[in-house]
Amino acid sequence: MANLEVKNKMSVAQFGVLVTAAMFGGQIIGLPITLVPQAEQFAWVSVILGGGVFFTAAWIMMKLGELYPDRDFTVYLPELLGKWPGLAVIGVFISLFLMVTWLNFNQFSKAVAFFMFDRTPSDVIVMGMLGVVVYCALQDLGTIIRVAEFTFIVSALMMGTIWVLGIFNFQPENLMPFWTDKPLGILQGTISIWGVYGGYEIILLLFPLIDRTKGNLTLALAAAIAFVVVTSIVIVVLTVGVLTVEGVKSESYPTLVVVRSVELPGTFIERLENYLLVAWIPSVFKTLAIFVYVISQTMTKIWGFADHRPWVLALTPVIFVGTTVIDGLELVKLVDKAVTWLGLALSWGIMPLVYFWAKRRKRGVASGGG
Amino acid sequence: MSIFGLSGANGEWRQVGGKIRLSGILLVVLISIFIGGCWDRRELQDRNFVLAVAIDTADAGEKPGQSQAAKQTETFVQPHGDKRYRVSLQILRLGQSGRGGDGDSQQAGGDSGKNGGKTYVLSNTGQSLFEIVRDTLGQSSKSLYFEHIQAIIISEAAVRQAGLKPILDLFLRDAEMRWRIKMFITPGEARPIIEYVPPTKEAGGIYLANILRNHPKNIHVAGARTDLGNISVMLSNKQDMAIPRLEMTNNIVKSNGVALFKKDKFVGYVDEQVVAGAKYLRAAEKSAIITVPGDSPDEVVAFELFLHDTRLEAHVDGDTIYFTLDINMWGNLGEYQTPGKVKGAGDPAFVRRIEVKTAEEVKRIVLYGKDTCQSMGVDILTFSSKLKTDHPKTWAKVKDHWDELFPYIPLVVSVNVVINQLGEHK
Amino acid sequence: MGKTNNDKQCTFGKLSDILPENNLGRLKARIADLKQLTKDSAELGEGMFRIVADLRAVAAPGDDMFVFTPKLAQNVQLLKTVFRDCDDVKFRFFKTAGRQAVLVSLDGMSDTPTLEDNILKPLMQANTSNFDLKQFIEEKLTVATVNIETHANIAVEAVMSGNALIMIDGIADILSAGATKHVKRSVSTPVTEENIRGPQDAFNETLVDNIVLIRRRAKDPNIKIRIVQVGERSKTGVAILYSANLVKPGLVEEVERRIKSLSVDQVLVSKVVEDAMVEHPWTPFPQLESTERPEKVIAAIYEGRVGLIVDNTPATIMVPCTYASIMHAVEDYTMPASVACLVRLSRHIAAFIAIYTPALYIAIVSYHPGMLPTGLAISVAELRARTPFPSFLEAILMEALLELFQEAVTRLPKKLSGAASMVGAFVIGTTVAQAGLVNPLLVVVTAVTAIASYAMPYYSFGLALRSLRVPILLLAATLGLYGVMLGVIIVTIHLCSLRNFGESYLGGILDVALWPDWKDGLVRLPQKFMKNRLIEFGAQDEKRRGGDTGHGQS
Repeated sequence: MANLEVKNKMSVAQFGVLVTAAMFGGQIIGLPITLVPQAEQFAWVSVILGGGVFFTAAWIMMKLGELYPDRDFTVYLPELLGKWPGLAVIGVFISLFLMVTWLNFNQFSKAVAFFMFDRTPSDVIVMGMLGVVVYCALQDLGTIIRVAEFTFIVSALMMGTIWVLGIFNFQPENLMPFWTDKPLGILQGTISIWGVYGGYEIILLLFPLIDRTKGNLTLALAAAIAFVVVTSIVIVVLTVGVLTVEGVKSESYPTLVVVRSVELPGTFIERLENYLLVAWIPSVFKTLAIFVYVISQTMTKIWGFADHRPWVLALTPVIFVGTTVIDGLELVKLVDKAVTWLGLALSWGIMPLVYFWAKRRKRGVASGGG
Repeated sequence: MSIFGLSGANGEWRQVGGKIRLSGILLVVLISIFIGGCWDRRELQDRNFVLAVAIDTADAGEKPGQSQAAKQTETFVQPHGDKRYRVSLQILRLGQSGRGGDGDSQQAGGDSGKNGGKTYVLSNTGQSLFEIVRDTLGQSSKSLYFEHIQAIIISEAAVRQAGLKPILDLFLRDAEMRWRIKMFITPGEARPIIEYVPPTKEAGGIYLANILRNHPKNIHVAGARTDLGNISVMLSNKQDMAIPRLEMTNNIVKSNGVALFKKDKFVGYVDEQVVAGAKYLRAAEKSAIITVPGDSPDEVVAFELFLHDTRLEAHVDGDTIYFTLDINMWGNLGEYQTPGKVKGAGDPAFVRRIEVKTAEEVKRIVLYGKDTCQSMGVDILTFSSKLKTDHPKTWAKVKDHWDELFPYIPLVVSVNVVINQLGEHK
Repeated sequence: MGKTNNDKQCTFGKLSDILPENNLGRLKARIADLKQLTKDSAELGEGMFRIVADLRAVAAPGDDMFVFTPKLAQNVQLLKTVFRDCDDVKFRFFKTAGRQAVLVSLDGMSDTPTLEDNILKPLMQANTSNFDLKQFIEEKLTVATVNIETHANIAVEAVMSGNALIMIDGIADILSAGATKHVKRSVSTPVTEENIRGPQDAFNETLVDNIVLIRRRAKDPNIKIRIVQVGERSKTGVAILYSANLVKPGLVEEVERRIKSLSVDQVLVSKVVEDAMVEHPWTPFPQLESTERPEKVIAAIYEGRVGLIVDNTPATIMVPCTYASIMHAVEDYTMPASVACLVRLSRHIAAFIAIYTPALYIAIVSYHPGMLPTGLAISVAELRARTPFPSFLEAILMEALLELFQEAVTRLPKKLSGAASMVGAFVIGTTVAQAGLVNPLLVVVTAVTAIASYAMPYYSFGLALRSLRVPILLLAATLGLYGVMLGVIIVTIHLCSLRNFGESYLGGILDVALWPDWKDGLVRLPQKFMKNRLIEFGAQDEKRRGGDTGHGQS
């Protein structure tokens, strides 16, 4: 155990926490707005189905990584598909993450600027967060893992505590009508929540760095997705329970309104949605830091650099410009849709095909050589 | 060592120059954030706390001799539309607090103006509430701060003008408003209520909000889900709602009864008994006093409710819809008045009789409340939502003509009362 | 005034009237010449001595000063050249076995009875015939340590360390006998790390005594001690302590490499050695622990860490260190486990409070007053209506006052500190608020912050927390609660990125891979749960007991 150097390997448990940290972040607060108009009070069913769907996608990616141990996807994709198609797939991946980063930054800064501040321009908020994210992404992987673990545990605990207080206003009969006349809505909702689960794609890059001798990687992935499923169910159930379906449809930020409706007279605590926002900030930070690190590391590997730091600095103006360009509600919806479709295409379109192709190749090689 | 780097002895000069350039740029960005400003820094004492808002019609309460000039100064020139609403803001006056250990707070309370209160009122008229509020800044020395607003009082005349939603829209959209602002409808003029100085010398808005916070103990006041947020949810669900009524006469401010709204339109007021009945039906009471006559008609027995178990169920029988209400109440004997005689209440048979009488009384109140609501056509009894949750198929069939069905839906009530204690004195 | 004054008259005149060659001008010139002559001759003397030294140095191999010859007179001359003007070096000439001999020792550093009984007596009583030095050393010389030196540098250093140097005419070997005894402070109670129930002996300045304190606590031959000399002129001894079968592999070599690469000329305080060991010189956080208490050092050694004792400093350094190990205090192990858990958690909370409370005050009062309950907001607003400054300036003012006060109190002698604390309490506490400069809520906030930073078990860590307050204050004054949260994140990233000897500073505390360590890091569980060592420091053997490795490697 020569751990006098930087720690670049991670254990399975650490990877599980890292994937959870990448998923549980920006989109959690916006979950009911996208989901409830489609699936109404059965949003929780959509969430569970979505969990199953995206776990399968992640599992396929993990299996693909197992076919090529010790190499990450920047090496084996060009090898498998040929140089240009492989690079095209990697390009899809990079542009997906880049757009997710823009979208997350944008939503985050708008929400914070609207609720916590009066005249501060949202660009300043983006600059502040971008500076911190870049500072984190400039560190080596061991530091990023530990920072992600620390902020994940702290922010999940804080957000969970604040969120649970919404029970005070919870009315179960708002969830009640067990009869729905829009069964298709549930399925539609399932695929439209890619944003909440997005983040498991980092396994493609980080697979060779996981120390798989101890612990079960499938179990870790399952635990990560289960965590997101459980928190999403809690969020959706509480939101619909407090606000009713119609109420959710007519609010811009239903999760924050749920927390705002909690009144604890006689205590020191008021305006709980500020507390929730403040607890949300580290969550968004860690998601974005992981994404920025993954993007810059991918670029590093493709271009053959030794270190990811120059790419982080090169990405900074790109991210900033992209975030501030997304102006106006129409553009935001467009980017959101684009991101969802791109994510689904990558996870359910391209990756399974690549996996089956790789399996056939391997089998062909084995039978041909043996 | 210049920023552009020397092509010195070896490449390391250029590297150093590059690092200096990078840190220089970072420094510029940092400093620009600090210099460019703290956009939102506004000291706590530089904000005018708005504690209550009163909304009237634009010409409410005009006395014949009132000067036109004063009214002109108070309002502004509006680009289009007419003056519809008058918005009055109750603003906190920061007194001199003797917190340094001296005891001059008495003196401070004494000489803070002839209304002797901690607040003062600014008014303005217009149509768009946002525009009115911003124009009121012309009368205020500090910026208006709404995050601590406690109560909104709307006059009946203002609501009759165009409905409830247009008035509330600003409060629902603005990020500063709270979800739990207490709402009141008042039959008269709303502004005098926020000009009222409570005898406890609290700030007015807090006093009014706290009146409504007593609703668990007062069966005549409906406050369980009548805050701004709940109203917003009910408006989006297109439900009927009840908003507490506040009345002020001759320096007495009291909350009694509710104002009924059918979707968005004001329908009328109902009295305390209807409120009691509705609360029993919706299981929204925590404690109630039910008075029944004793053995002879001039005796009065008061039953104090502690615990109840209420179930409202919808039943669909073919084409008939009816509801059943089962109430179990446990409580104490609160008061027994026997004019002219001295009699105790310790006889178990007597207690049993009182229980039966109380159950009858509860049933009567519930049916009275239901009949009144049905005759006014306003469903605050949660009939429609119960039907929707329990029998969604039937609801889908009837929801379009629910308004015709509702006044004729029967309710079967069965009440059971148990008296546990007689108090300290029998 | 001459003697020939017969006419009893007092006249004043100049000497140069009588002795014309003594007028002032000429005298001045002659004095100047004399001074010049003196200077020249001094220079000449120096030059001559240098030439003598050079001549002697030519024959010395390598970088020795000179080479000892069998002739005593020459050796004595050479030594006297080296020790010129060191008046405390004593030369004692005597005869032994018929030959002339000399004993060189440093007055005050050598033990006179040893010199007399164990060195001079046997030597003087040696018989003249067949004097064989080696046999004599083995049979007759009763001193405990004796070495035969051939290099001049080492011999000179031996004398400067308090040993006695014996040179015998006709024998080329020089003996250096150990007879060191010098003034030192006896073992006393710890000064900065007091406690209630633990042991009360602390390190003192002498290297040997400190090593003895460690050895007493663990009779384990696997605890190895390597002594290295640092400092070209001061030649201070630095001892590296570790446990051979528990230390993290590679750690000792790295530590030794860093110490040996230190090129300074003097090591007066251990800080110089500390600075050589750290990899991040600019961070305010301490990256090594230093302690006065031996039981902490032993505990650290048994966790797989390395201890460093520097001569003449009572503080011992332990590397590597993490946030969790800094937050340990020995009292945690003397309290019941449930109480110790609470105390540990409150220490973590105190660390948070010590940095962020003034910033939170500014953020809430100036940026988000909606977060205060209405009654409190009204009373705070009334308090602040009297004070003129914006909250940021108020907070900076109170910080400046607090820092001034803390600096002043540490410099005062004990007798004045009582009066100073009265002044401080009045000025900072009461009068500033009464004068209307700051509001009392801010005084409370500042006092709570100061007290929280005193709750740290390690003083340098408290200093680091203090230094972070003002940047976070600036962030809060610009961006409110968002700025405070950004500050929290930045501090977290910075702490996680501090890696000394491969251990992440903060990362270990909530790292899931190290989650068995949470039993002792975040909280303290009872002893029976702590069967395994901390994984974090990479000790070779994980179990704390059993495992009879016995006398393992050497």
